[in-house]
Amino acid sequence: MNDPTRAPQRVQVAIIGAGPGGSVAATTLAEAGHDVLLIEAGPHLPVDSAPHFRRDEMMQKYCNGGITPSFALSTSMAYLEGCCVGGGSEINRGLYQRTPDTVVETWRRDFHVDGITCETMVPHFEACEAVARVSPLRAPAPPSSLRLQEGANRLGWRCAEVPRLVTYDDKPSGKKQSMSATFLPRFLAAGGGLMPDTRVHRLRRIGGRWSISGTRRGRTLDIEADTIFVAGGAIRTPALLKRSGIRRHVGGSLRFHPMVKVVAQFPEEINLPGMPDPVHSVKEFEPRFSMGCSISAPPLLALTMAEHPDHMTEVDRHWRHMALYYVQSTGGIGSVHNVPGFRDPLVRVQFSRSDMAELAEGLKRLCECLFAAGAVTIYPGISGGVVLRTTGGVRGLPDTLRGNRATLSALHLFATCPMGERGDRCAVDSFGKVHGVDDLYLADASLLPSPTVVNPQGSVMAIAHRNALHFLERAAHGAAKPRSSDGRTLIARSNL
Amino acid sequence: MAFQATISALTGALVRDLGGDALPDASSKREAVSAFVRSQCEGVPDYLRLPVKIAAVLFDYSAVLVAGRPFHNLPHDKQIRHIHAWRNSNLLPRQTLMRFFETLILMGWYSERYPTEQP
Ligand SMILES: Cc1cc2nc3c(=O)[nH]c(=O)nc-3n(C[C@H](O)[C@H](O)[C@H](O)COP(=O)(O)OP(=O)(O)OC[C@H]3O[C@@H](n4cnc5c(N)ncnc54)[C@H](O)[C@@H]3O)c2cc1C
Repeated sequence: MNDPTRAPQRVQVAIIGAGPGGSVAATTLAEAGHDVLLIEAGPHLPVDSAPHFRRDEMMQKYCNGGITPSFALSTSMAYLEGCCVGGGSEINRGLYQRTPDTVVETWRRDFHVDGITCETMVPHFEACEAVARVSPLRAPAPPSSLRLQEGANRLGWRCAEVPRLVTYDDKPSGKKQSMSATFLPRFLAAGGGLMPDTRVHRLRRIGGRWSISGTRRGRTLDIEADTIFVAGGAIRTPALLKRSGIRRHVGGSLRFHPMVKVVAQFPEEINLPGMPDPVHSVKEFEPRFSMGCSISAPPLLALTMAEHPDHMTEVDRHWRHMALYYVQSTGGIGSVHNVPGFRDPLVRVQFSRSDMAELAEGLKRLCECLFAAGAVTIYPGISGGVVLRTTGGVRGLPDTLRGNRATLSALHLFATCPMGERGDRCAVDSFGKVHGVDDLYLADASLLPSPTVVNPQGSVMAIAHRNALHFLERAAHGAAKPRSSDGRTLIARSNL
Repeated sequence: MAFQATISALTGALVRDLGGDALPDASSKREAVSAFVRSQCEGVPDYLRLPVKIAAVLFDYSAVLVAGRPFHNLPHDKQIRHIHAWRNSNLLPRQTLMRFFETLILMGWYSERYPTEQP
């Protein structure tokens, strides 16, 4: 299918979007014997086609080159998404955590997601972790990450190393376990078809089948499918559904982890090229907010220092002494809209007074932690150019980040098409089938009913696996028609 | 053309302000940053593409009102003053536009200045 001239006219299952959700669902179904076509808007590139978190990677693999703003009456927020085969898994750091028990319980209780408990999720996490492997660091963590841990320890706060979707068998710096390195080779080996550079614009139900229209490298394209799984991510999935006339509880309940960053400067060098990625996370205040250390390459330091134009030259002078830290909460809500005549979705966000007070408190706590770790100067990513040089200065930070005071961003997006049985708020059922629409399923972060509090990729993969197995069970009982007729074999073969 | 001239001038002014002119190869680095900014402007969500270009040209010509010439024809110190006026403006769209271009130019410039080898 990598040959553009050989796009199939008709498939059994089409999966739209090759991020973690789409890739896990596609592999599970293909290994169970289904005829699956995975359609991806972005290119198919090696995971190391560009240096990570750099300009060239943004241009190659991010949606809109990494320029995806949201709109707000008051505080706005930029968000980022991957647009390539593998989706966000190709560009993210692969920090991996299973969904916390409290979050799973919220999904069950508040959204009436059937059959979901912490115990029933375990086999799905295990199945995904057997393919996309998760490891703690083998070498010492980088100094920037250890500083955060030291600060937390001094304050008596809980802090943990977060394992990553990386293996350290072949090279000390690790091999990233992105979708293109893990699930997708298995998908192709199972006979799945992959169509990169193909954007789906609309879905239509014609004569009991789905018709998918899109464009591939500038040429229009139509494919028929018995069943569709949409896995375009939390922003593009609702946009596609709405464009296709499917609107019930779609796109109106966007949630995310809004993030504020600071640049902290230390007396000694902490930002050394070639070091592993930072891995520590301060968990003391979860689920309200958490803290971590970001990649601190000079271009990224400079972006946060943009709030401090008078100090910008400090980046050139001291970047080896500087690192980027963040605090992120679960506050804020948003919605996804289509603009008539245009292709890209428009995102609106909104924060309450308490959301902003919570983030402001998180920012203060983060600065406290960094001073406890020995930082000599902290440049918060908020407007007004306030520079902190002592712990006492933290008290001078604002009690709210309302208005245009903070530069917010989000990497974790959810909940635009929540799953569950509650007719008043859920777009899809407990296993991802769109309510009231035949043969249409979702398999990505859009159906997670609420923020995961922790890094979400593990949750996206496990839920996609759970729901794909459920689809196979339904198929085995005759509700759908897999290529093989032996339902039990299907489920066994799909046990990744 | 007006858009291209504005982006080149804006890039030149901010890079010079960052001390970039003192570096070897400054002009080719500046040109690479300016090309990056232009290409990112083509990549923004499609409903913003034209508004971004129009806003950039408005920024350029707004300098005529205060300094008698478009931004891209101003001397460096007046360019910086004009940038500051927009960056610190009480009008949110002006601030947002400046922040947007500054972000791109910083990303582009620091990527030129601190390149990493391909892994
Ligand atoms: C910079 C960054 C860092 C992150 N770090 C972490 C981390 O360390 N740990 C973690 O757990 N999570 C992290 N995340 C979040 C994580 O990557 C996402 O939660 C995850 O990728 C979501 O998976 P998904 O399948 O829902 O969607 P995505 O990964 O967004 O994939 C959706 C895919 O669908 C494609 N698509 C969309 N619309 C269409 C269409 N109409 N036609 C065809 N294709 C389409 C897109 O191009 C994209 O490739 C990070 C995200 C980013 C952006």
